[in-house]
Amino acid sequence: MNTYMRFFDKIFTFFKSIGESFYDSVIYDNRYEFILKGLFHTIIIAFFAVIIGIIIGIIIALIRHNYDTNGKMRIGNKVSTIYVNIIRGTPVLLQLMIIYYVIFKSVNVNIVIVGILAFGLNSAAYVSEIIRSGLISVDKGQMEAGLALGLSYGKVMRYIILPQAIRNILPALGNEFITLLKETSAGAYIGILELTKASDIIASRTYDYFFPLIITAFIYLIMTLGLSKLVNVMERRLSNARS
Amino acid sequence: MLEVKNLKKCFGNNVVLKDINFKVNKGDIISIVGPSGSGKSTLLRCINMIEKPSGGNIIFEEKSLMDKNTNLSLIREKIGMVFQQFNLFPHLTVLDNITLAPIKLKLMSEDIAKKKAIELLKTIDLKDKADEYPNSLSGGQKQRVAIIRTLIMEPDIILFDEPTSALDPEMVGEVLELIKKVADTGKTMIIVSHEMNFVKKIANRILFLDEGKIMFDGKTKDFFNSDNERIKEFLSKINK
Ligand SMILES: Nc1ncnc2c1ncn2[C@@H]1O[C@H](COP(=O)(O)OP(=O)(O)O)[C@@H](O)[C@H]1O
Ligand SMILES: [Mg+2]
Repeated sequence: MNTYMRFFDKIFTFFKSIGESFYDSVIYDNRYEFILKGLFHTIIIAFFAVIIGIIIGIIIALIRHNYDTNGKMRIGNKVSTIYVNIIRGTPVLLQLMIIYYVIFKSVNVNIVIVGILAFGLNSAAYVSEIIRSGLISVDKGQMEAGLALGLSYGKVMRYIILPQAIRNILPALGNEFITLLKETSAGAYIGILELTKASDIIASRTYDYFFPLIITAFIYLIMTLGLSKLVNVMERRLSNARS
Repeated sequence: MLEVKNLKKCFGNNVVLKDINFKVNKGDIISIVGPSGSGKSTLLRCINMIEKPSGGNIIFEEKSLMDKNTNLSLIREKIGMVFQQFNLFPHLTVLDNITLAPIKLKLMSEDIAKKKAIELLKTIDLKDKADEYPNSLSGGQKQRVAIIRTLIMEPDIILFDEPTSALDPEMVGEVLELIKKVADTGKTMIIVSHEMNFVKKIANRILFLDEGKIMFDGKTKDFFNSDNERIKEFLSKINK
């Protein structure tokens, strides 16, 4: 009998301590506000960074593709290639630190904007490669047939190549956004209050890392798994589309 | 209307075309023949500048295509091209394949382009395929649509690069028949083909290309009766 009692007692205490931890980490002193704010910043940074990444990435991809197919824009291609290699060849945390501590050293600027800029410039390199390989995946004959009809390079791109490349590009862009969402946690290092930093702040107050970190991991997981599902659906829809 | 002058083309160290010279007059139907790898496709592709020549010049309707100020797109509207691999646009319906260029180049309104496309499709008995996608067509049907796509632009000259080489044998006839029909309208054409019987019937002139040079340029009849060893060897190989 006694052992049973002790067993239930243990379980009870366990749940009670979880409850207390939860209370301390999330409810007490409105600590959930850190998490909400962190989540907000994580999403904002990833979202605007991927938009910057897509805009610059498209420009880089078109320059490089134009060079690959026509031999035009030699210098633009050189510059773009160097850029892509540097970005992909160095850690994003380092890039973030260089932009924050070196470039914006003496400028008073919102740190979230620094994050958006750094992750955007980083993402651009990866996005440009995604778009470029999407463009390359379209048969060369398509560009030739378009040009032979008298369409300009731009019109062939817009009406013939891009609509076909998009089915490879979109899912990959979705995955890039997922990656970016996780990578923004590097922003914690320069003091951006994003999701990872939020859990760090809470933990430093409760002296208990377990709960804040688990909650944060859980939030990341929900977002990334949800987005992965979306990407899968998109992938299926696009490949079912007429070809 | 078209003049190829001292045309040279290299890919790296590989000299594919050496000093090609010939003229095309309005109404000419010229067939380019020669062993595979002799540079026939490269020559055709240089004529509409899809491949940039390494030297020499192409003059089309008094304009030099090597001149940086020449608007190549405008020139290409007037030079149709039919590819071995058809190169239809797989994401567009048959109708949209045909009307894309005239609409986007603002040569016709959408209504007129569609009407015209349907009319052209009727001539090849494919009107009921107008809203289908290229994937659902046979090879022969694809190539005939590709020819229609070129015809709607009303080009002054059409280049055919082995239009039947990618087809199953039973579909070759329908495509050649359509090409013959277009030829009979007096359209200027350059046709690269290994279908010697067809070439004999349709071409008024033959260019024989061998190792990047024009070895023969003359009347069709003279080509098939030539004593030249290389030509004889070529013809006997191809007739096997
Ligand atoms: N894009 C290219 N890059 C490099 N070499 C090429 C290219 N296109 C053609 N060639 C070479 O040019 C030669 C002639 O090819 P092609 O014009 O296709 O001959 P044909 O059409 O008479 O069979 C071949 O040796 C081929 O390998
Ligand atoms: Mg060829």
